[in-house]
Amino acid sequence: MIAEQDGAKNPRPDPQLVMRWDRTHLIGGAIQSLIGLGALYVASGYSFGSSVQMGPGYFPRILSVIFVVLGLITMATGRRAVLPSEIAAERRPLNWRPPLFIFGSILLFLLLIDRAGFVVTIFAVTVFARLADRNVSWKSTLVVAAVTTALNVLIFILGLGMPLKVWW
Amino acid sequence: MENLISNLATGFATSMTPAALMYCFAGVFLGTFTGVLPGIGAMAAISMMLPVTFYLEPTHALVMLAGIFYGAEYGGSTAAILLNLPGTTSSAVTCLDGNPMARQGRAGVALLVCALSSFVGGSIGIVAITLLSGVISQFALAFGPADYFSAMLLGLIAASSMTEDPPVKSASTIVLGLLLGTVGADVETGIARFTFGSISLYDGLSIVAIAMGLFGLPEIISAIQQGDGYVRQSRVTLRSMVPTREDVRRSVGPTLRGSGLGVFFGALPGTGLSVASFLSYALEKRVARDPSRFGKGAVEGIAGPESANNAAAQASFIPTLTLGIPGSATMALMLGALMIHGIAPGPGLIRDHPQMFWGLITSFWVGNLLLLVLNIPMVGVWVRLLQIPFSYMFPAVIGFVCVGVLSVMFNSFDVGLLLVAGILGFAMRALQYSPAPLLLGFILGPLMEENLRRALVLSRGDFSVFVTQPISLGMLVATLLVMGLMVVTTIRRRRHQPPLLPVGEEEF
Repeated sequence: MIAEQDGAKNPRPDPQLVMRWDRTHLIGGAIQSLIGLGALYVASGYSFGSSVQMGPGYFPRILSVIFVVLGLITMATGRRAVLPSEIAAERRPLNWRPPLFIFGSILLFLLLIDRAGFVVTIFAVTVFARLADRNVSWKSTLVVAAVTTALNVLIFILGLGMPLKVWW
Repeated sequence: MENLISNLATGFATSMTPAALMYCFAGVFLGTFTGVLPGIGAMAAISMMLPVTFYLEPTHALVMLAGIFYGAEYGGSTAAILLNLPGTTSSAVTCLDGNPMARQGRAGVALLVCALSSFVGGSIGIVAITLLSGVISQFALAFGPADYFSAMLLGLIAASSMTEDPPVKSASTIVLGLLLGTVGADVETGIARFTFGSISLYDGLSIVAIAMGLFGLPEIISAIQQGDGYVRQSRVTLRSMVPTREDVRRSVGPTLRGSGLGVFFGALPGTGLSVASFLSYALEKRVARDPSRFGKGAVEGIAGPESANNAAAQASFIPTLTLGIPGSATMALMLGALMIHGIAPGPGLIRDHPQMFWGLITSFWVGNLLLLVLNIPMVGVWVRLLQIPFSYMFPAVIGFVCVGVLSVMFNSFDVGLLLVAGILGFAMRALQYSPAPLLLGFILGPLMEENLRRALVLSRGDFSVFVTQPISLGMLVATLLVMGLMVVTTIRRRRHQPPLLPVGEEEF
């Protein structure tokens, strides 16, 4: 991180502001450009047609090119003034537990639903999801899971009549 | 005039049936619930309920989803006053004077003024829709494909200007949405695009999975990360809600001015609820005899913004229902719900489905009345509800989300898509891209491609059609103005941080 004062350009320099490259712009722009190039590669397999007769590739190809260009602009415009508090927030380690358990519970649902039946799946998924919060007791988790399972059976199976395997 | 009365009669005949009343109540109840809960926004709530509404009649589905949207505005202010935490972005302004009032022991009065001015604002917004929608949709019947394309472009650009992101980032998000909208079979040729050989993708990406992944999951994750350690207000009695004569006298003017601002900015694409309530606050502060009272519990600082955001919530239905052009991501989701039920949005809606249109409009009235009951006599329920720890609720929400996504097509592929969209939404938040414009692009994408194609066929491939048609030209000029304004404010903001609103919240 380069700490450099922007006193010359700004008539009322705020001593707290620091000019530097914003990481979200650099990383975001780079990912964007890659996605755009990938989309362009795939879309080049569809016929472009002409303006009078737009082919299936016309719109996607134009969009892909715009997306790549915007990605490059995002990277190029990443230099901006930031507050020290923002830098501090960036350095704070991210709490990975919630995203891992939440996304994990969706994955668990995906793996179980065709094999274990509705009741077992919902129960397992809610128990797993609740682990996203560190400070919970097992007893309350089981109660939450049981209530959620019952509500889901009530709404989706009994109420809306979804044709799903209730047990295994 | 007679026409209007018969339209309203048609509407009430639809919205006063027991079933419609029930769904309206369910909608505003859920809306208030999600509004009160900091952490889950109206956007996430609407996307969660979307699969359930597939089983309903389209009118009932819309009545309920709309109820969630405007109900959240009522609930959001309750959280703002009692917890100093805005339940929705637009109620951030309500914190400024609402929370000081609560600390002075006047939480009850603040809540009452809030509910009443919200009701007045909402009602004035509904009157505006009732009077204007017919005229606008008549005018819009003259729109050609080029005009539509330009109008949608304006809608996209204007809506993206609402986020706190730099314009290049919100433009990128829109384009990503448009690209995702092209996934699936091409309407014209039937050629599968971006499906990578998967049959599940042939009909396009599931809007429910995309919306829940982008908004629901990341919102839950960040709510868990933040924990819920706020101080909770214990009780609000009905007696404490009785305002003084002074309170009433001070609230009337701001409420009426706020409603006017709200109708205007709500109907414009892209400005919406937050802009209306912030402007109303600024206006009241300017016209006040003693501006120094603001921020210390001035009742005008609640009445104005609250009426403004509720008027705007209702007025934002005008462009969505009459033109088929949503001004925000929430409205885009409404449009998506219409299309899922096989109803083409646009100026033809009032003509072809008068019962649905007027039924929906009159249900707003019913809904606002129900909200008044939910938020004044029953406010204690919400206060108590705020005491349930979030860790009891989110696992249930996750279970509900999974089953909801699955229930749309009974294809577990969509649950996988939910996971991918969730990770995308999470990454976008981490990289400071607001996901709302993506959804707007995703829904408008196919419509834009279709109108572009038709416009170019009619003009034999000549792009000048977009500037020679007067309506289209007007829309494009407006688009350029909005873009210019965005660039200017960004360059200014580079020096003057920080943003006023929390990044990536759900105005939208």
